[in-house]
Amino acid sequence: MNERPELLPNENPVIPEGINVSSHHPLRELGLLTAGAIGLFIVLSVVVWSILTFGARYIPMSWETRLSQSIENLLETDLPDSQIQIDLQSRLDRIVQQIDEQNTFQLTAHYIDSDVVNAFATLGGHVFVFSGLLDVIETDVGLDMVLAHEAAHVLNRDPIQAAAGTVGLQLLMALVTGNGDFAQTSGLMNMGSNMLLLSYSREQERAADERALEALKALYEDLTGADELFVFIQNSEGERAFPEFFSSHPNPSARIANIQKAINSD
Amino acid sequence: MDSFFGLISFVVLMLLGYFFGSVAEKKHYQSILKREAELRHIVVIPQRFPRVANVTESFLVTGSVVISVDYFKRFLATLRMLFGGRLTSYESLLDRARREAILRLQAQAQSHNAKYVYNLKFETSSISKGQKDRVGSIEVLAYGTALVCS
Amino acid sequence: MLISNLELIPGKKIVQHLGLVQGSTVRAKHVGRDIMAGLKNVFGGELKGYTELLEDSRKEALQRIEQQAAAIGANAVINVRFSTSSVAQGASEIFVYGTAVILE
Repeated sequence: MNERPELLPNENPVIPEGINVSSHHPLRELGLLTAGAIGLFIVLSVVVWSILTFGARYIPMSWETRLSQSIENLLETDLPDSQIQIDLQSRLDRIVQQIDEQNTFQLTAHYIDSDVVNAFATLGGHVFVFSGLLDVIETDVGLDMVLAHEAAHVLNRDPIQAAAGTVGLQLLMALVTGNGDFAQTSGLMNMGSNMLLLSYSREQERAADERALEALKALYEDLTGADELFVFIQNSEGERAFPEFFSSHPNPSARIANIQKAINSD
Repeated sequence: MDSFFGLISFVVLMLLGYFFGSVAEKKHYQSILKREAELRHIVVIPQRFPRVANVTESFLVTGSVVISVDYFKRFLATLRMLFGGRLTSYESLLDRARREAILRLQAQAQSHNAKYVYNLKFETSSISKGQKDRVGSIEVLAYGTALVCS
Repeated sequence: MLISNLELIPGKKIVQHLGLVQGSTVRAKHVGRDIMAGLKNVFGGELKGYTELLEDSRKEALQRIEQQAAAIGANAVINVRFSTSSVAQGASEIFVYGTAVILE
């Protein structure tokens, strides 16, 4: 039996480094991954936004009206049946008649007693006008421009589209941040999706301005003074400190120029 | 404004994690290499049946260590989990933890004059896995039977 | 290179034991696999994505242990043991270790 004994080691072997630990450059990897993550997020946001805003157009107005019941209850401070509200409603109806050929839309005017110089349209065809705005505007054509603009938003289905897009983006963000525990980066994502929202909203505003002018041309011979509100905004705030990039509306000067162009083009 | 401060704190944490993390790692590796050279004569083997003659004593020895994952590594891992692939930031962590555990086991064996440690086994676990801003850490336990020969 | 979880290889003689060698990989899944897994949670069935992922990790860990054994001059690794642990939510480490030996 030539049993050679198995040799045992005298000491542990020297194992070369770098086999179980791959050489890595952490900063370069961070850069690559961050760029990739940002790219992925941008692509997904744009895709989700486009699909939802496109699809939202096909949501029937009746569903939108049902959704808006809850909003009506929120703003209890409006004064229904006051003379001003009746006046606003009749102006609105006149304007809508000009641009709603199929007569499918039912808009409701609301008057809110508040110093804010604002007017907006929400889901369900509700148009809100603040008393502050009425204090500032003096001409008929100026007020009708504002109302026509808000009516155009409703007819273009802007409120429901923006709502659908925002819901989609919120869902996407929740999906992404739900996995990680880095709450700080969600702030960045918020900013990113806001930019998307704002650029879309500026497009909507431009389109609403266009459609509003369309309605006004049918109602008024002379559109001088239609830009009353925008002139007021421009004078009171100056050309905004923030570039147009960060704002939901085009710059007042741009809107005024647009209106002047429409006036001169007759 | 809120998100701005959030971003600043994030960047600060990342920088701290990166710098202090890589310094700690370098120092740890230097210490590991030094001690591995010193304790090289305590042989560790995963085999179950010792072929050693003249064993007078045998007893269980263990070595364990808990190493924490720094902020930078954790964020890198979170990003990596979007795309999949090798988590290189954790590889060095686990390597260090294992080698440290073996060194401690060897030190314990040496203090009892053992020369061999047989049936070496490892247990790796992650403590709290770093959920919800809590610190994540890795624990490695190495254990085996030390043999004292005459 | 022969890799086995036996203590003694039948038909072969071990000439020399060299010592402990290890191989490990840490891999993460990606969101695509996550979403598929989420769907499978509803419909049931094998999570092929995850199976593949763990297969790849195991292969790589075995590759690394071979590399270590070859670097110290061994031609076989015996008494191989696997250990899987989850190091972060969504990432796991496959760890292989064994004794590097020289077979006749």
